[in-house]
Amino acid sequence: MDDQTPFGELTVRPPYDPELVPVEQALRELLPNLTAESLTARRQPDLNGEVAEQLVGFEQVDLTAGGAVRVEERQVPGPDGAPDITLLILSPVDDRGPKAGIYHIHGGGMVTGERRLGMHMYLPYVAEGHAVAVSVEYRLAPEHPDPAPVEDCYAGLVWTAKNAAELGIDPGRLLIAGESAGGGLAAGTALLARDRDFPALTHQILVCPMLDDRFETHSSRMLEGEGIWDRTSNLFGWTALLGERRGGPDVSPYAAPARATNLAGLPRTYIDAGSVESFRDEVLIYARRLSEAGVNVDLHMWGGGFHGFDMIAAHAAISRASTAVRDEFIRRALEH
Amino acid sequence: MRDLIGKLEAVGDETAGALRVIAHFDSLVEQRAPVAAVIRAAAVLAGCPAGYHDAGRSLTRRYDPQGRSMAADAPRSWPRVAVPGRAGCCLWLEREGEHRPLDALILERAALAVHALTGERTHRSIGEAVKIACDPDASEAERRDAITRLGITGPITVVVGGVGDASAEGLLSPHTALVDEHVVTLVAGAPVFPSGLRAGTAVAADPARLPAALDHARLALRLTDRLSGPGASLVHYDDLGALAVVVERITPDEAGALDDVRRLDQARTTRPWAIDTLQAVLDHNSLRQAAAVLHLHHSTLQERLTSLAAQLGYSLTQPGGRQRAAVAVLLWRIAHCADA
Repeated sequence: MDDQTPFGELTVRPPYDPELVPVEQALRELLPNLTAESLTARRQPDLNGEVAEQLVGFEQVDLTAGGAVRVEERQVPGPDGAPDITLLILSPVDDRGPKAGIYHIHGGGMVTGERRLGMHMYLPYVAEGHAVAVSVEYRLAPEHPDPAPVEDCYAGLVWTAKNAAELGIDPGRLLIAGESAGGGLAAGTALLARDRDFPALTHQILVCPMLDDRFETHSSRMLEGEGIWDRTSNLFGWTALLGERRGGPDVSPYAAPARATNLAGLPRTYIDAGSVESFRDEVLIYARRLSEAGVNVDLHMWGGGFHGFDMIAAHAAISRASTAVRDEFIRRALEH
Repeated sequence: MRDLIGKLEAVGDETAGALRVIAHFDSLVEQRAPVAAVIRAAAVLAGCPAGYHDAGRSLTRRYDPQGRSMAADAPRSWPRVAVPGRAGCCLWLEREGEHRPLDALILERAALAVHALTGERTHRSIGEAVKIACDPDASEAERRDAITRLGITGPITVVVGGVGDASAEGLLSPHTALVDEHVVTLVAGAPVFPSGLRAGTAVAADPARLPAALDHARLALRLTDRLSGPGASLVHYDDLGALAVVVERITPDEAGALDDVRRLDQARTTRPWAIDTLQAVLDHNSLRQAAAVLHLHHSTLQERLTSLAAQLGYSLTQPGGRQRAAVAVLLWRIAHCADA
């Protein structure tokens, strides 16, 4: 097996933020590397599976925000010839006319997670009446490899844009957002929307996104058995999505947006990463290339942060800082 | 993280939860994390707000389980755990309802972590000793230690002055510290106060009463006049008698909202001498004496009082007028105690 990995020697990594260290250590025991065997466990609601999901933002959040938010689910058409998909739709009970729309794609390494995961991050904007948030239940790999996940995401986005009026969304203010694998899918869906000329997106919020299947960057090789999402788990996720094609010449930019040769015409971008995560360099490179293509980018690298640190260890000072900065960006993006 | 500990508690795996708590704080110590990180960890592991108080530095920190900083003044007091080897330092959890099985362990390990990160503090500075001696949260043993360190025995006079004022520092005693926004000096016994001092004072018969005496001296300070003013610039709480009730019960904001106080404020816009004039007249038996203090001819003083009476709606010479003016000036000082 070692001979087949694309990693080579472990590269140097920066130290974790001191306040994050105990959390990272606890999770190292609770979240073993993602493999075919541990994937089953992680999808099961057994103790560790539940703990893991709760730690990464799947806790029992009251999506109604105490009654301020209407929670609704719709079955909408999937891609051509594919099954319908489910959209989770959160809208303010106190409706004051058309609002921005946040189209959300959950994380989970392309292989786990569900539509509620991470929605607590966007709930305040809905509860305060600034936005309608829609989260897509896309099909997961490896049962449903590429292009099923990104095409499901795109189909849900198209439905959302076409039904904006009914949902209370101003079609001129549609954002896309995602975390981790969801960030990668959000970037891929934004590329699809650009190339298919529909719909127009104003912003893409890419939270520690998974963009590159090739393991050529320094950071993609620096973590093994640590850091929440190490190179072995990352290889598992990409291989589940792409199979034999992973790392080869036949991977579409919609699956791995780092491969897109043209990034012009993409939406205003917020993108972030921890300095101690596998995705760090692909995030830095994507941000630079977007900027070179004429896209305005807010890039934040948080020194000492592991993958998803501000969702997993929300109490830490570095997490408070990251969350506040992102919140401020999103609030500006939602402004009329 | 709270979800993790909660889950371990729910399945009855207290041992695993305890190990998790211990490993968490050990790791913060190993990483030389800041003390604030220890308090946040206590909050997130317990799932309720956690607080830290360092009397020697007049420092209080509180965090909620999301790591958000909370106001320093807690709405109520909670059972505290002392930090070993750090006089005047303690931690607490703000647990509403029943305690959780791991609460005691979380506090104990957090206290040990603070100790490990900050080290022993046995050689306190004089300022720290003054702060601990006056801190309501200090234990009696810590308070007595601090007093011993200052070398004071018997009753203690607490002298409180504003930072910008000529303070009691150096004039009376070297036992001085900045506590919140005031300069606090502790003096053994009942000192003879030098002139040129603007301060409030109160006497603590024994160390246990120092926190109360500090509060009293602060209240007395509210009633002081400026050094060059005709009123008393040094006010002893123990001389206030019935007036203490007024200054204890009325906040500056409440005082400022009273009609008679607002009339004085209005009068001062066109008659900047209004308060000084009233104070001098109230403090002396004759207009001639008051005029001398104000460096005025007594007919000028009479004219001023007549015009003031017209503006205030009452005169010092009418029945009850003098009392009303005295109370109004007292309340005006309370309302404006923070102006200096």
